[in-house]
Amino acid sequence: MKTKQLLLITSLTTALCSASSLADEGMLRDGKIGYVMTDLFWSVYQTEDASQECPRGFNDGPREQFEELFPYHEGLSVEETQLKQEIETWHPSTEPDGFEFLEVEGELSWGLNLDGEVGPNDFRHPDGTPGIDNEVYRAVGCVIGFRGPDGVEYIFQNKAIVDERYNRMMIELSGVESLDNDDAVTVTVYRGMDRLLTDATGSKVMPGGTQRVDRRWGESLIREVNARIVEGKLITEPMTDMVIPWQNLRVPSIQLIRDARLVLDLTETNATGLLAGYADVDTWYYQLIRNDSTHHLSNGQISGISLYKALRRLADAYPDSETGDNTAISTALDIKMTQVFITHPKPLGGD
Amino acid sequence: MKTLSRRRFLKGTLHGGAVTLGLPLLDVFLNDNGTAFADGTPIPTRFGTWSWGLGMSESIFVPKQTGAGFDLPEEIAALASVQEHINLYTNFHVFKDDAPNLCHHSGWVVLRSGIAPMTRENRPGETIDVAVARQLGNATRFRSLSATATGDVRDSFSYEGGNSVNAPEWSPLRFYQRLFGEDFQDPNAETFTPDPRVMVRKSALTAVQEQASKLEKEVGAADRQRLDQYFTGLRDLERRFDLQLTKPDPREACVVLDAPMDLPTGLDADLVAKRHRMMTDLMLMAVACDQTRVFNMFYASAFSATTKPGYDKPHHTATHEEAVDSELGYQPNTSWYTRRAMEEWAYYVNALANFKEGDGSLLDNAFIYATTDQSFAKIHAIDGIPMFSAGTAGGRVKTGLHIDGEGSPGCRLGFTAQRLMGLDIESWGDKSNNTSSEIGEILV
Repeated sequence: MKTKQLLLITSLTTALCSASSLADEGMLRDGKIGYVMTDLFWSVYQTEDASQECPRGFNDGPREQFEELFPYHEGLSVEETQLKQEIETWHPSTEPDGFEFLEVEGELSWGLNLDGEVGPNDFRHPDGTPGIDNEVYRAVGCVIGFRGPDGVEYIFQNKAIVDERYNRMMIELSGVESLDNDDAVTVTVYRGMDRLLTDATGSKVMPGGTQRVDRRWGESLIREVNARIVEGKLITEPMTDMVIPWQNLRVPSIQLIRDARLVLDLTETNATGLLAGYADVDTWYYQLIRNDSTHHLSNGQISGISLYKALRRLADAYPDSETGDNTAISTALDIKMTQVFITHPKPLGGD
Repeated sequence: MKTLSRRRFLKGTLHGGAVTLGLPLLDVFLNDNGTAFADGTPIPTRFGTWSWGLGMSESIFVPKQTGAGFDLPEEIAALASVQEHINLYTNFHVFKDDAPNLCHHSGWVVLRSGIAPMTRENRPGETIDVAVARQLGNATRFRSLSATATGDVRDSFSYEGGNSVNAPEWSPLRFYQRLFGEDFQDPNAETFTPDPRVMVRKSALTAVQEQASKLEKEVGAADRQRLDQYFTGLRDLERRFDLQLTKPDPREACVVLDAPMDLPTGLDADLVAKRHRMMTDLMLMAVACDQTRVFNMFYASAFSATTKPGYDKPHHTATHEEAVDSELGYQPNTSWYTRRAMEEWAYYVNALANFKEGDGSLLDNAFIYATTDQSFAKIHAIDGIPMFSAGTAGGRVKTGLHIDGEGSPGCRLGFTAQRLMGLDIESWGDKSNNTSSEIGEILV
């Protein structure tokens, strides 16, 4: 009996020592550290009561517009009313719809100076930095559904990241000598395959989880980019075209961000900051309406019909070679990531 | 005179069938205090559930004070008339661990089954009423009864597990016919004649069981398991037949009602309230007549589509689309729906409290467990999900209290309820919802 007790104590001691040495080793191992995305949403600079950015209030949604368009709809057919609006939602145009669209009127915005220039249409960062390019914010900043803390897009997008796996985006930093300063590191973007490690509430993501790289359906999403770390801030070069698997309300879709770059404050457990670039307008719009029914759009007073026109009007990059119309719009997304150990299954053989 | 047994009947035969002639309910059947039958058999304990949809507006729902004499914020002001009979539980959590937060689903599933579901189709275990019914429901005609005020047969929070849902009664008239139709045996009737149809059914069932038992010896393990499940159902049927062939105990509070008028379909709040009250009255009479001791009443579904006259958004839509009024600090129309739910909760509790039984009421011998699906429905929050209970379970529960759960599992109330109903369980719930901690503040 005593021998058994001694063995038990020895085993426990060994286990505790192992756990301790694991913690001592830290999260940065062999020059690598991984982070998995836990929050991602369009950067929307908000003031209390929205008086600075939306002095004239918020945009109407589908229900409000419907009431204005069809005040006596009882005598009209579904084709003449609801389906007409649905068709315009799914086949939008740039022609005016008769409703004034309320764009952000404030001067401040989160985001980055993407084009390196300071122009009359640029925002100023709250820290004073001029030249901020974020026209998506100008379009959605006065739409209730895109504003925190309870806008319908905001709620569902972040909820889906924890609940689903399709949108499991992560980065792995390699060649890292220090998380404080390092002038040459490599950042690889992967899609993971596993659920997030959370506390008991299921809402708070904990560091120390493990994610397997999706080398099958996620292979085309892998991107590699050079970066540097300056005083704890990771700054990547632009990635030509970053595809973000996006899921909302259980509908899988994507966002396509051109010239995408990450600026993240790093610690051993978290990476927090911005993902910025130029969002492909049509991809952006169809992600929204594929994910959201009119019911959900109505929840956030989001008129797809009006918003599409605004996005096309405010698009500021990647002109179409034939029409000259811009096809992409500057944007920034708030991103939060939590440390994760990334494992690399062998790629599937092509056949 | 006190030695007279309530089981004393005049026995004979009629058309070849055994007949017992019962006596009407006499005072001699009860003890001196009216709290039990004279032979010491206690008035049975009953377990009920009640459910409403879409949670609360926390700022005007959660009282500032805990314990006895708590304040009634405006969203629960309708509970003033029943405050002494209920307990309110706030700041209890539902944990999902590695499961997703399934909108309008995870909250009620955890509170009813103790397990966080992995998918919307997934009902990971039996619900609490089913577990309790195994303990309490074997002596009554119906092991449990469920009814909904929505008029929709799909609305039920009672399931055996998986996709085996206990469908509720959704029509007052159908419910009446099921309860008090031709198979009903009035416990207070002076005479009792066994129904020959039941006798035939029982005979046929016995014959089937004999054959099935022989078959069981000839099949493999998997088939034996299937047969065992089948026999369980048969035994339940036989038990019901036995009950129907036995003179039921008299029940003082049992008065057979007149058949109700049926109601049109629809979810207008006034219509739902009317349907709720009719179903409640029928349900409680079924309990008083000892047709069941476990009963589920469903006021509104998790995705409640109840409508408000003059307002274009049903309840669920309103929770998401209506902005929080910056001056009021809550969603006024959404709160209107919750207030209507609280009015019906008050009606339900009052109905139980006013139902005389012995020297007390039905509520004195019952424990009602009331839950919802969300705390703040606008964002699908499930932390701090509110719950109620009503009744003293035969004097074993204190009422009139507001309990602050301090973030502990909401399953504590379900665990407490099951222990009160006599279930010999050491804990209840899965993973972080697992608890072996009763809510001691409410126990006498």
